[in-house]
Amino acid sequence: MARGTVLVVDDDPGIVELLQMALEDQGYEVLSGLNYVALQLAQEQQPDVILLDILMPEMDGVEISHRLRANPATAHIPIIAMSAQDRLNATSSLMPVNERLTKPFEIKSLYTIVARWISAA
Amino acid sequence: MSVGWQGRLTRYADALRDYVARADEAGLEQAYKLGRQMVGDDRAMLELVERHHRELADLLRATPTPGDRDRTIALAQTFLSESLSPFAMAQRGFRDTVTRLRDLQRLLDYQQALADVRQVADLGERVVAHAARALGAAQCALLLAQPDGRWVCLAGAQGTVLAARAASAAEQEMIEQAIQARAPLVQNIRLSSDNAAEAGTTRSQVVLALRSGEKLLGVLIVQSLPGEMFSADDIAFAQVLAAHTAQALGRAALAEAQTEARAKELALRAANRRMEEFLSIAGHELRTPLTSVLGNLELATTWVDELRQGRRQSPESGDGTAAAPALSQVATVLSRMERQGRVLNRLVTDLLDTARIQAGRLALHPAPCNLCALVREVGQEYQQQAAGRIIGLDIPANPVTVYADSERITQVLSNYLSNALKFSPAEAPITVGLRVEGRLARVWVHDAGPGLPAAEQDHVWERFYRVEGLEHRTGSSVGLGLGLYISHSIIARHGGQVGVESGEGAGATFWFSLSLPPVASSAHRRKGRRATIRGQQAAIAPERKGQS
Repeated sequence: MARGTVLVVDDDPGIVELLQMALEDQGYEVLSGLNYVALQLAQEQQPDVILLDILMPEMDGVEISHRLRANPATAHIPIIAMSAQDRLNATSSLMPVNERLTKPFEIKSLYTIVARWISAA
Repeated sequence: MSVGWQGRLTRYADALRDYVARADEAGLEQAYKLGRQMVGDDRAMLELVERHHRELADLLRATPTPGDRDRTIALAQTFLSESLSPFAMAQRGFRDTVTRLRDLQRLLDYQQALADVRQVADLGERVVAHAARALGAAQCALLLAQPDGRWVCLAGAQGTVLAARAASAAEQEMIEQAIQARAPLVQNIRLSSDNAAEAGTTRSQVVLALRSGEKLLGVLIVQSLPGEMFSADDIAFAQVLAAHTAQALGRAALAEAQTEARAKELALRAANRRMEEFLSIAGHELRTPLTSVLGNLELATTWVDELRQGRRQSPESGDGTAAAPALSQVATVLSRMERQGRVLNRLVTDLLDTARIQAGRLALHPAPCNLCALVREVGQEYQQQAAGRIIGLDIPANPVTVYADSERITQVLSNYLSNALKFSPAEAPITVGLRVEGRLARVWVHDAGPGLPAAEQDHVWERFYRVEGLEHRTGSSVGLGLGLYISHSIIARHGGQVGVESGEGAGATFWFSLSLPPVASSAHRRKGRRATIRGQQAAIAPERKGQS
């Protein structure tokens, strides 16, 4: 039985690989996708938490977070925005997210934050 | 009005006739009063008065008594001079006014001629042409004070003593004198001209200092036409012109400084904006692989520690004994670290290359190089790296030798290829080709991506340029926007050309061309080959310092 499900939305395959390996190692189930695939996964799979990158082609993190909040089926899912400090600062007022994770981040902090939002749910 | 003064004139003439006829004191008084009444009218009346007095003179010549006649003429002359002098004065005043108005007109014309000049360099010819016209002078010269104390002629009539671009020692001394005196220096100079018509004639020369406040800006030198000396009025007017010239000089210098400052400010602002954008993108591009490297490093470290302490278990077996799967996980994250490390290295190399290009220090190590082999090797390398992508090679069988830095050319081709992979769909094939076209070897990379709008095609070679709205294939890095800039610089340094052929939705073909060595004739083959190398070396463009 998985400890919970995490949806990773990031366009960099290196980051997706890293998060997947790190979170699966802790017993989480990890999903990943971009654009509409990400929105669809969120609605259908109902992950416990969403890790969301900001700077992405096509649909960026700002747009995805708003779409997730606008949909009653996904509005409740905690979102953790991941980006470099300057971008997090610049978009902080634009994104309806629960927490921000600054890149590069420590895996330990990732574990702590994910565990906190999953237990809060 | 004319009736009024004509009436007064008639009475005046009658009074004079009475006086001459009777020659008594009362008649004289009467004529005198009437004469005074007319004073202050215009020139036409003066002529009438003169005519009446000529008549009077004729009348007096007919008077019988010589004594009476002499006395009458003497008195009439006194009266005439007294009554006429105010007319003469009025006339002179009128002439002064006309002169002043003409001066003013000339001054306004002069000011207008200089009003729109925004650069000191443009001012010279205008000053020289218009000051000569305004003064009715033969020629002018405008000399500017240099920081080292010398005088440089900004503009001056050719073929004269003023034509020298820098003032002679004699002129220098003359200028110093004018400046010391704080007044126009007027000299009469005798011409020793080759021109027979001018030889031996004299002309006036005025040297006027041009000051803005206490600051000495330059001098204006004016020469009269041969044989025509400047009057005091001319010199006074020249002083006024000099004051306006100084103002125009000051204005032009200020405008120049303002334009320069504005251009500097705009350039600085644009550079700052580009730098901010660049830092933001560079930060993101460097941090992404760095996040992977650091994250994977943390995972590897944690797992190795756990393995060492016997706490790490195989996720599958769960019995705490089989460490093999965990070790393979460590190996996986380590290989990912290595890959991300390479990405980081590539980004840093691009940044360094850009800095070198900017400083004009991109070193080339050209040598004879077989382009066929180079293109094949790079193509095959990418075929291996991007397994699953179709990369076709279109290369002639015979070697194509150019004189080039093979590592740098490889870098250019790699840039083209990685862009093609980045910006075209995974299933779309890519072709790498080489063709000899006349005296050029042309290498190209064709992709079936979205293509480039014509408006973007020239800009893609600029530093930090990014095609608006162009989506890179998911999972690839956005890049620093330096690859094509570096490629362009490398090929330009080889004396070659780069280009792109594309249409929206029609894919893109990025190419570069390098000159082939000149063909050596069979008779001079050995010599020719050496010449070839030298010729090609000459084609390697010298570094341009400080390009931006």
